[in-house]
Amino acid sequence: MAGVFSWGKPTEGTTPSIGLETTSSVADVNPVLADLLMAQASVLEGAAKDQGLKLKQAELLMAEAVEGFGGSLRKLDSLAREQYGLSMELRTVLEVKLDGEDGTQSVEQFTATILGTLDLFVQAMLEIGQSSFQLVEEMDGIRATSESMVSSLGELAEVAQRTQMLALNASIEAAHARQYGAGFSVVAGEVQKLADRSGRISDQLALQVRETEAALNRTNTQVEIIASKDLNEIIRSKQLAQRMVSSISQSELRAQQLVVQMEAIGRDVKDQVARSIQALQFEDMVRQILLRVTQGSEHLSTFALRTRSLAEAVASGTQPLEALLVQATRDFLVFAQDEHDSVKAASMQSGDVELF
Amino acid sequence: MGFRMQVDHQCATVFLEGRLAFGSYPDFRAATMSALDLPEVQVIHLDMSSLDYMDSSALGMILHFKQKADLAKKTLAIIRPSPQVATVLKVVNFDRLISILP
Repeated sequence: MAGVFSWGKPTEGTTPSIGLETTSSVADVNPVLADLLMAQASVLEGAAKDQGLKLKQAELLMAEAVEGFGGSLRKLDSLAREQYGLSMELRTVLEVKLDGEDGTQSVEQFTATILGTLDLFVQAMLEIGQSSFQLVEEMDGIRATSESMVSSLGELAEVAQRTQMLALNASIEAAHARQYGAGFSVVAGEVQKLADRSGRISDQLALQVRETEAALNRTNTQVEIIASKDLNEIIRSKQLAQRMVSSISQSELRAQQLVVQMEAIGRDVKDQVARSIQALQFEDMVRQILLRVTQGSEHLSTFALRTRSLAEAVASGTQPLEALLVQATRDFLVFAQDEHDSVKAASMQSGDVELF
Repeated sequence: MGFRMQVDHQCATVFLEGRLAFGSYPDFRAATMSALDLPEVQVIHLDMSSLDYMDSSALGMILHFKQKADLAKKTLAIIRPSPQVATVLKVVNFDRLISILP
């Protein structure tokens, strides 16, 4: 049965329509078939154009994916730098060193040294205090002895005074005896000299005892100065050392906080890396879709070109219709085979993406 | 000003008041030695509940007396130190040398 095909060209928002009318002339078939093939070529070209637009959209999506990936990498770089800075700060906090005589000391060691020194100072102070009162008691003993000496010197002075009186009386009596008392007068004179000398020695001793007592008083004052120290300074020093220990504890706390922050940043970095990998997968998927669409578009364009050539050959009527039908069938089979291969390849690549 | 002393059986308590410093030694010695010289007394307490201030010489004074108490084989202890005095005793670790009772 022969017929005539009519092609209704599509308008905006409508689908193309095909009509079939019967005819009795084979020669009339060629123009109709040519129109049909030409319309088919137009549809195929439209589809190829549509795929081209989708290809553009896919390219935009891919560009966005690449931009997102770049942003993630920049964020990753920023976080890595911040983490490095915090690491440096943490290291500085944990490795605070003070110059010591034998190299370096940690703050903790330095604090222990200060407390140890204070304890030694306190111990020495207590020993000095205890020894001071032993010294005080020794000086009290010396002072008592001095007072006893003063008493003895008083008696000595009294003896000297009486001896002088006795010598004076003896001299008077010797004078009364005139020439008979001359020898006695010499003895009385010598006794007088001895009494005078004894008196002077007694006075010198009394003076030395007073000087000794004055020296004891001065020594007592010095001992008091040495032994009497206000303990408030020691209390303040110990409190200072304790504040240093507290400061060390705060530093350790700060270090722990920094470690927590670093851990949080580490988690952020990990998340960002995961997102980067996802973005990389998306880019790969889009790239495969683009490849598939490109291949499909190329197949469509080729098929449309072949169909248009076929339509032109039919319209010219220079070739037998049977030969053209064979050519059309071959072209369609080639297009169908290409499409099948393309879909199959795309499916395999899609599987690869899922594995990735 | 002398320091008051109270004897209860074998225990003598010397009540230290005000400030204890170098100049207090004669009164301190008089009170503590009178307690030490009592044959029946075996324990001597230094009550510091009314003591407001003590310097390093006071600590030396007490240690000096502790030496005498040890020689006499009698026990010496500080009792009821005031807060100010307790701070000083704690700073110099005095409890390592003499018993301190609250």
